[in-house]
Order: sequence, then C-alpha cells, then structure tokens
Amino acid sequence: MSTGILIAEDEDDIREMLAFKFGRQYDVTAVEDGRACWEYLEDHAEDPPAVVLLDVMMAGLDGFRVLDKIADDERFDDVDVVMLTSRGAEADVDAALDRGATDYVTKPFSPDDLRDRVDELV
Amino acid sequence: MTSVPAGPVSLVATGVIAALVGVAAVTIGQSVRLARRDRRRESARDDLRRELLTRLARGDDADWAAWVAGFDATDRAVVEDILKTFLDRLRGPDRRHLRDLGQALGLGERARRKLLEGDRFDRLEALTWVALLAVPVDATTLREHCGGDRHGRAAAARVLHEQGHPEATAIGTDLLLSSGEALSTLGLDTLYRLNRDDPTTLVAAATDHATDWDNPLLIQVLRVVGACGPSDPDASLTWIPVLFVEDSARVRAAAARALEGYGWRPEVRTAADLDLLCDDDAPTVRRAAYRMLGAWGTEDARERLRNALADDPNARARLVAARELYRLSGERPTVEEWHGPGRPVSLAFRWVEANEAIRS
Repeated sequence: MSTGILIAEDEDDIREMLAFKFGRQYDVTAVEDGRACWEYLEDHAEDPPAVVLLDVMMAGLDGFRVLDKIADDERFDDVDVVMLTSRGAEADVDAALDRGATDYVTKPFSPDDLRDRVDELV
Repeated sequence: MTSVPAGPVSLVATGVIAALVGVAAVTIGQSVRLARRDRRRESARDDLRRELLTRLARGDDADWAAWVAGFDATDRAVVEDILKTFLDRLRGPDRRHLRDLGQALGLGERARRKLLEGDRFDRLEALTWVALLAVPVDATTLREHCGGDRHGRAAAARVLHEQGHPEATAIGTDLLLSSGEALSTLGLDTLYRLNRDDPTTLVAAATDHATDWDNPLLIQVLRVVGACGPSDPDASLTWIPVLFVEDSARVRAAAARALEGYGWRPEVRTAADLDLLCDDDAPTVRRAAYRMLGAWGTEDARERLRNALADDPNARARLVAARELYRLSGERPTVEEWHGPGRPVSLAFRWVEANEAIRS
C-alpha cells in the first residue's frame, strides 16, 4: 500500500488548500465528489492510498455512501478514512465511526491538527 | 364605431419598441460585462490561491502588504472571496495569519466604515467581516447602527457573542428583544447561545417584558428558556403561570415546556397548575404537561400520567403519557393489568416499545 492521500472535498478552495498542505509531505490526489473518489479507489485498488479524507456533504455520492463502499470492500481493509463533518452535526460523527471511519474532523478545523492526525495514520 | 388615428398609435408603438430594445441592450451589455468579469476572476483564482497558500505557509514572514500592493480590482475581489472561505472554515494558527491578510487588504477598516455609513446590506456584509477578522467594535456602535431591523440586530448580537465581549449576554439579549419583533433564525440561535450557560438575563427580561411581547417572540423566548433550563433556585417563575390562561394554545404549550426546563423543585410544583394544564382543551398543551410530569417522575406525576393514559381523548396525548410512563420504567405490566390487553392503552405501549427499540 502507498503512503498516498486521497482527498474528496467539493469546495474548491478547501480542496486545494488541503492538497497544498498535504502535498508538501505526501503523494496527494484531490477529487471533487464522491463518485470521482470511488472511481479513483477502484482504479487504484491494487495500490490504494493510505488515507482518504472524505467530506460528508457532497453532491451525488455523499461521504457516507463512499464510506460504506470502502467498508464493504475488502480490498480497502487497510485504508484509513477520516471524515470531515460540520460543526453541530454530532449525529454525523457517530454515524461515521459506526460505519468504519477511523477518525473525524469537525469544520471549522485546524489544518495543522488534521495533518497531525493523518501523520499518525500513515 | 370610432376610429383611432394611425399617427399617435404608431408613435406609441415605436416608443414602446424602442424602450424594449433599450432595456434588452442594457441587459445584454450587463450580462456580457459580468460574464467577462467572472471569467477574469476564474482564470486568476488558481494562481492567486496558490500564492496565498505559499505565503500562508511562511507564517509570520508572509509579507501580505507587499503582495496586495500589486493587486488590481480582480485580484482583490478573488483574494477577498478565498479569504472569506478560509476564515469561515479554518481554525488554528493559520487563522491569525489569514486575519493579517484581511488587515493588509484594508477589510477591517472598510468594515468599520460600512458599519457606520452603509445601508442595511452594507452593514450585514460589514458585520460578517467584523466577525471573521475579529475587528474590535464597541457595543454602542453596534447598538446605534444595527438596531434598525431584526437581521442587523441578530448579526450584531452574534458578533458580540463570537468576540467574547464581556457583556455579550446582557447587551446581545437586550438588542435581540428590544423591538418586540419575532427573531430571525440567526437571532433565535444567538439568543440561545448567549443564554445557554446562564439564562438569568433572559429570565429577568421575560419577567419584566413578557406581557409586552407579541406571541411569536413570546413563544421563541419560552422555547429558549425551556432549552436553557434555569437551574438557579432564585430564577423568577412568576411570568410563566399567567401564560397558562393565554388565548393561544401555542403560548400555553410553550409555557408548560419552559416550566419543565426549570426542573423539579417545590416552587415549580406550586407554579404548575396541573389541573389546569392536564384539563386544557388543546392536546398540545396536555402533551407538554405530560412531558413535564414524566420529567418530574414523582408518584403524583405517575398517577396523573396513568389517568391521562386512560382518559385523554387524544391519541397523540395518550402516546406521550405512555412514553413518559415507559421511560419511568416498569409501568407497562401495571397499566396493562389495569386496563386489560387489547385496550387502547396496550396499543399505545406497544407503539412506544417499538419506537424506543428503534431509537436504541
């Protein structure tokens, strides 16, 4: 498995900021929605990223549905998923952890804290 | 039949057509101008964002002033937009450096100016930047310039809360309630945030002014008080019992829920006229009363809930009574034996059990 990071975030500025931050340290791929995220994972199932940063709220295939697909597919058993949820959405956090997410970060978030958490996982 | 002279008619028609063509031309011109502007901004965005992130990574050496000095109007608008997104979504050390960028762009000064001189929309925009950039602004200014409409009042109160102003609760609550007008969603949320740790200020305001408020605001305040749960034994109760005889069932129900928020103590038990509440014509009021009884859980409360389960004519009210008894534990067999299986009481309990199973 690679030490790559896959970022799925539909907000352009936040996605690019995350890609920039993590790109200085890791091999980063950033996609704009859940469908593209799943397609990337399927295309790279032989050598999946170590960590997926997954926004909960995305058009089309949302973060939970992608998380379910990852959890149900044994090819991605070693992939850690960190969910990006909104403040005040505690139910999202519970649901994410129940479904197999490794960790979560609540927006607004500190990019440095997020990097520290990802560092622990990679 | 009278005939209309052709000359004036064609003159009017020509005028109308000319006006329509003029409006169309202006609209198209405006659209083209805005589309060009958006394209310019879009093409500049990636480069500007990359440079912003590169400088942000340098921390205290970002030298924002030198960077923004070379901006044209497009650059400035794009960077302001990116900055707003980042300040809204990010926390941590980056936020301080991003605020420095905001100051380098002169956004703090512009916000202060618009707060004092702008129209309603300018003020709301200014308050957004005041909050994002943590621009110091005094409460008097906010009160004087943002008290004109409920959205401005809500935004001003929120700024006081977000900035941790030492008198945020007192000033913000007063600002929100000052007009007697129903609160906006932001205003209601802000009233809750200001008072959730200690609703003494809100309870005092309600005690003094509840009778002056229209029902929509009164109901909102009752809900916030109920949610905040005044735990201070000296918190005033006198304003609530008088609401149990209000004409509006929504006010009476909200008053019962607010009283529930006070918890159980002898003064609350005295203030709650349970005969009045449990016999109210409106099921919504009785439901609120049953929830309060369930929260109390005293033997008298259980007895009243059992009676409600047997006698209340409203199915939803019976369900609430059943749920409260169920949550007080061990009530199902007692009541079922009391009323016999297959009776509506048993059905209510089966529904509650199924619902609780789903919830757990």
